[in-house]
Amino acid sequence: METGINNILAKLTESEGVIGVLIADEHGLCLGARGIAKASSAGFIASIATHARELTEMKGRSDSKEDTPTISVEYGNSTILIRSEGNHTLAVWKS
Amino acid sequence: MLKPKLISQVLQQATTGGVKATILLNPEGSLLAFAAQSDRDARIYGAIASNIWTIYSKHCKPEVGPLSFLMLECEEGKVAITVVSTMILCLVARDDVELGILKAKCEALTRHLEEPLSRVAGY
Repeated sequence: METGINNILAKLTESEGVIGVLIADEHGLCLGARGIAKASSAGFIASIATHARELTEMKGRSDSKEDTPTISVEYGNSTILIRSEGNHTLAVWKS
Repeated sequence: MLKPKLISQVLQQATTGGVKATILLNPEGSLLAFAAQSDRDARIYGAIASNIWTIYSKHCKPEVGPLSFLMLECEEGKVAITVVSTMILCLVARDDVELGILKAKCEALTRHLEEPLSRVAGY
């Protein structure tokens, strides 16, 4: 049942520069984490994505796919990319 | 009307990737179908899950609505309990199984079993 998610996580982890991947559901529950990503951060990731979406919706634009924000958190030599699609949020840690 | 063997097969599909047991119980706590390593495990998990569900249900305030989902993080594993039609569905998993996966499996099983079980519940 969970093979699909595991395959996506494995595929993303193998990508160049990726050091961690996490998928969270709409409640901030972790669906899977690989690399340096911690399952306990799923809530924060989902929350950041939700707040970012609320900020973009404040502009009064339609909620089309193009309006879904991608959040980049930069720290040291690494970056965390967070993007919400439908009910799920994906976070990718890149070095 | 309802094929018990097929229900067990559906439950078996969710009993992967660290999920130790998937159990379907009637409201009284009797086993209807299960997928677990042993009958004994299923009976024990089922009895405990039914007990917990009943206790929480009784303490749900009417203004909040009926209990729909329970997730428990225990010392040596995780448990998800939900209601399908009038039956109770319980998933018991290892500690390393993510709560999101456990919830997603519960929801997938609920979607799949809701309609056939609601037909049986009328009898």
